[in-house]
Amino acid sequence: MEAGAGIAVRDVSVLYGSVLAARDVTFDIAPGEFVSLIGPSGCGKSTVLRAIGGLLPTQSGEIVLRGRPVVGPMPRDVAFVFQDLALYPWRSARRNVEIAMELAGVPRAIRRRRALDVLGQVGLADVAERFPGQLSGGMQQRVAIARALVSEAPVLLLDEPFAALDEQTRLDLGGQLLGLLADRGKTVVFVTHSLAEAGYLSDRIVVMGPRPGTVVEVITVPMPRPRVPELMRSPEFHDLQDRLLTVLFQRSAHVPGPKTGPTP
Amino acid sequence: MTLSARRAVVYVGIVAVVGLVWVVLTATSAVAPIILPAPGGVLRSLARMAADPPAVLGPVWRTFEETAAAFGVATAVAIPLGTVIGASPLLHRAFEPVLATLAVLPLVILYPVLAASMGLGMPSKIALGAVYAFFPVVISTCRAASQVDAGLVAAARSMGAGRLAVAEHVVLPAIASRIAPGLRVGLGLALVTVIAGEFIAGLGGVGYQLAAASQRLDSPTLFAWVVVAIALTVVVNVAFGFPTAVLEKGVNR
Repeated sequence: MEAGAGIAVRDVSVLYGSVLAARDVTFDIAPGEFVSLIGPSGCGKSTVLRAIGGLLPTQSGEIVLRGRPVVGPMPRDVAFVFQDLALYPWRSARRNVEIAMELAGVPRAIRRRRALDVLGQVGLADVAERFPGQLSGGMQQRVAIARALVSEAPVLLLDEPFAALDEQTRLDLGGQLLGLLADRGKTVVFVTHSLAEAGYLSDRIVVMGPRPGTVVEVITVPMPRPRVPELMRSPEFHDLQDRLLTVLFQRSAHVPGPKTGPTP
Repeated sequence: MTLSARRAVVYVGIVAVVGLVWVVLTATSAVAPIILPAPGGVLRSLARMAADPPAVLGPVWRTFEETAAAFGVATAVAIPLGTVIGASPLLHRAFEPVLATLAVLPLVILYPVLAASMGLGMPSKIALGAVYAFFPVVISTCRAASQVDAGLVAAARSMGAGRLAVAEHVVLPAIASRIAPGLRVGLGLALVTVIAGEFIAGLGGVGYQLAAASQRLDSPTLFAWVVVAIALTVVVNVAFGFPTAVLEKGVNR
């Protein structure tokens, strides 16, 4: 667990602004595992993700990533896809993908070739020179994913990357993401509020309760890989959705409950 | 008819109507020739000026130089200053109201002081033009710097950008892509105030020629210089359009 690209989150509390967003969060992620974080809106799942990526300091507790405590951004270990995508509007799709390499000092010719290569893999070779404003929402999403994939980082953190899309496009892009990740052995933490998406994509699902969020349940997805859309019609998938709903509604119905009540 | 063809028709139509009104007003002596000279007289003045290009290009070049210097000085001070003020929430809250208030003062009241201390030559025109160009640029820079998307900064940090790299790759391009309108207003004001400065008290330039013709009661020449001033404005604006397009889109390297 400590070696490889594993992540250990131990008793972590994180402030978002001056509000306690997550409290005593504990879970482990094995190298190469795909784990989704779900929970009610505002439960601190994005905050926990940012803390794992070193973008927010933890208030207490410890996050260990590839055997080292997280104290700040680790561009060589971690690549992000943000909820609002964070594409630079003044850079073309290709130059958005190149920026991490530019920051790392990779020569122009090499970063250009690698960026075009990855844009090709996400099906955007023909629009590489367009600016984000000239691309559809789904295309922008794929640029953001290409920017994360072009990095050699073994850990991928995705913060509701498909939240702005309709359910059909979302599951379609999710499937494509799985295809892209298939041979890369990346460790993925995926924040979402879509139960179907979490079930379809993940090895395990970490369910958080209402703010200040804490882990209420960790569910292993009982479905084989590779995942195909037909799995979403299987009884296992429906049982899983059922269980997720039960866990989520139980927790939010009991606010303030014994485990999720406000801290003084 | 295509849109651009229709647009051309509208332009030609407006010019024709204005020209027609002009001809009618002067031909019927409804307006005294000293106030509004006949188009023919203005054309003859233009032709006379065209026969002696240095007499036209000299003043035009002088005005252009003063405007460019004024705009250059203004942006060289306003962009760094606006960036620093806008990037700090404290400075932004403290100084944005001050800048907004100063910007609407009739700063031309400074001109007697500038002319007295710098003389009637080019420096006083450059100073007045720079004062006017400064405010739109500093205010738009300030606003752009204060509204840099925090998500873009976080993304850059996650990709390994330190403070300097964030400034270079996020803050400056974000500002550059949004200050073009402020720059355009600043440039326009610089040109206007330079010409006004020459007109009020100058030794040369387009404004000086306007004042001279006006004082000689030579209305056809006065109007001919108005035409020259308009042509200069159009050229300056078009020339400014190219770098602005680059600013807004960035260079696609």
